[in-house]
Amino acid sequence: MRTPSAARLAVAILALVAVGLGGYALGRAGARPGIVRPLAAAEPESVYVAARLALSAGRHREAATLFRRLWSEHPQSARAADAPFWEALAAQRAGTPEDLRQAVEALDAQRRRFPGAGTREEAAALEARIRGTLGIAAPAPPPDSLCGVRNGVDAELARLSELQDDDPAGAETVLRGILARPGCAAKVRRHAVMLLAQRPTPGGREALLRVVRAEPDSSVRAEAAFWLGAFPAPAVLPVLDSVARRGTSAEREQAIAAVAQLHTPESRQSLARLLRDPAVPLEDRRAALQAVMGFDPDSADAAQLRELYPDLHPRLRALAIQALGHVHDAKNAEWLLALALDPATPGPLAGEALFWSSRAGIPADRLVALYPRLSDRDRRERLLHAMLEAPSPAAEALLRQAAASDPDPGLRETASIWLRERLGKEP
Amino acid sequence: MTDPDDRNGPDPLDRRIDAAAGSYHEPPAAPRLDAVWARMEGDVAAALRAAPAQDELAQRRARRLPQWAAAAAALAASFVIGLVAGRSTREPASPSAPLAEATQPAPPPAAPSGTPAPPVYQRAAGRHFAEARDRLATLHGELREGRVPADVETWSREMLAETRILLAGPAGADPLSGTLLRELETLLAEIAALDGGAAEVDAALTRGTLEQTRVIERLRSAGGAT
Repeated sequence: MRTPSAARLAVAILALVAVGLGGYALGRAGARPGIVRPLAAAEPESVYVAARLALSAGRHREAATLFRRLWSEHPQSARAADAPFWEALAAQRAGTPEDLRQAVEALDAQRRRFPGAGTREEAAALEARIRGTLGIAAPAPPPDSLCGVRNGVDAELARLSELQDDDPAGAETVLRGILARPGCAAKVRRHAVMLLAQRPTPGGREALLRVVRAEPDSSVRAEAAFWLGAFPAPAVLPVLDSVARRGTSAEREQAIAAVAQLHTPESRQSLARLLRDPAVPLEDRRAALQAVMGFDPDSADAAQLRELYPDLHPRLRALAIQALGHVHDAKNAEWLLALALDPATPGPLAGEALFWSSRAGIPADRLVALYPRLSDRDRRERLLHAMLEAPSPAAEALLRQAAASDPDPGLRETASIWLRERLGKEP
Repeated sequence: MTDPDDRNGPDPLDRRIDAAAGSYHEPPAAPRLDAVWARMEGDVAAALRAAPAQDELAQRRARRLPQWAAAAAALAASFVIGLVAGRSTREPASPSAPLAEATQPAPPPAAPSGTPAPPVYQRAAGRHFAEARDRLATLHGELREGRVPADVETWSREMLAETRILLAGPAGADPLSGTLLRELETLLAEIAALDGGAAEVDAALTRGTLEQTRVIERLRSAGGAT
């Protein structure tokens, strides 16, 4: 006669074997997009795991089908209530109108059959987004419905986000209404700022300017300052200029970034004034320097920075040289080389300029010819570093020669390191 | 019908982002799916071993493993083992296989399309990617330690809402940032569902998604580029 514990053990082993066989069957059949193998005998947990694996592997339709099976064939299982949400998530990624309609259907089913599901709030936000994509967004909610502390704010914001396509005036009215209500949570107000900036209008600009001037929460003011960069209008720059000098640290940082985004002659002058002003904190001047160069600097940006270079704080000059090195431009490269060879340039900065002149376009052969004429160690060391990536055979020859016979043992070692790395990189 | 988002081949965006990342440091090779599953197998096996007697390990975990979750983990482990075994013994589809069984030819990878966003929106996306990267890297570390952070639901919901706002604007139409934002939306929705009582299986699955999609590395490249 079996003991109860032995019976439990037997059941557990049988369950494990059954589920393992289910997995084996699926694995052996292969999981291909659009083809889902029968899993009739599989346990709900196995179906769930298979569906999640399909979702993370990008097999969205297969995942949606498995999640559908989970809640339709195993409605009593622990995973069933959230499965419609997962199905909708997977179907949304699949992306065709048919998939999106399947997603809405799943979310409808979750609302009706599993109203207490833990994912209901995420599901509501997802549904708003999907309905917006399908062009069946619900009407704009009143601002007060977003300002109270309650669940569902994310879903209402998602509705507004989608409404900006279908009813931009209605959405803007609600968003401006939110910003005019000091009782609204900072998170909601920050998101309202972001939403207004996605479809810049004069009304949205005025609302953001009011936030920057009068909003009580600093994080919302900083967000508004950043997004004013999406509104290139004469009224914006003076306000940002003022925030860049008198705001909190986060506000100043965002305002400086926004000024750079305006990308007008006036905004360039504003940044130049910040860079030259000794009263501006060094960190802000560093941010302004990075803003001047932007994330895709061109020859005009480089020309402005070269003009500013003599007025820069000494600790910002290396950063400026590095930024200039990213602009592949003959005039820029020659300027960097001249700076490197100027006896008045301190050794470490001269070395930086030499290295970055190579990146900006000075041919390796010219730099190789300079090496014997360089008297100080900083310049020589950085020139050797520049030879690491230089495509010319002369660069490799210089590294070999310096590694073998440079009178300075430190430079011999440096040359050996770069030579080994260079040779290791080659096929 | 072809699913444009299905990853049947390397995405051109992936290749470009990988190339950009490679110029700084070589990224690790993408883990094979079987390897990820094998790691998950280890995770769920570890969950099985996390019996109440292992007080030290249990104390380190932010959330205790419920008994039902251990049972689910056991079932999942069994399933994964079976799945891997099945895949390893799978025969290629023969030319005479029934139509429904035949493998669909992989569609050519879709080139990212759309309108490049104005710089302010690219910068906003870059800022968002940088924050997401930090959050996800921290989460990945916690999941590797067997913990689900208590605040995960709060920050993931906040980030998800912001992701959707950016998706609805010019960044969503941008060929580079739009693709990554859509992936991030799905991932954050997965993470937001990691709420109280999350089973070790869910934590392991989320960890597997983070590793398989290499999203942290891709966010690093995208955040650095913008």
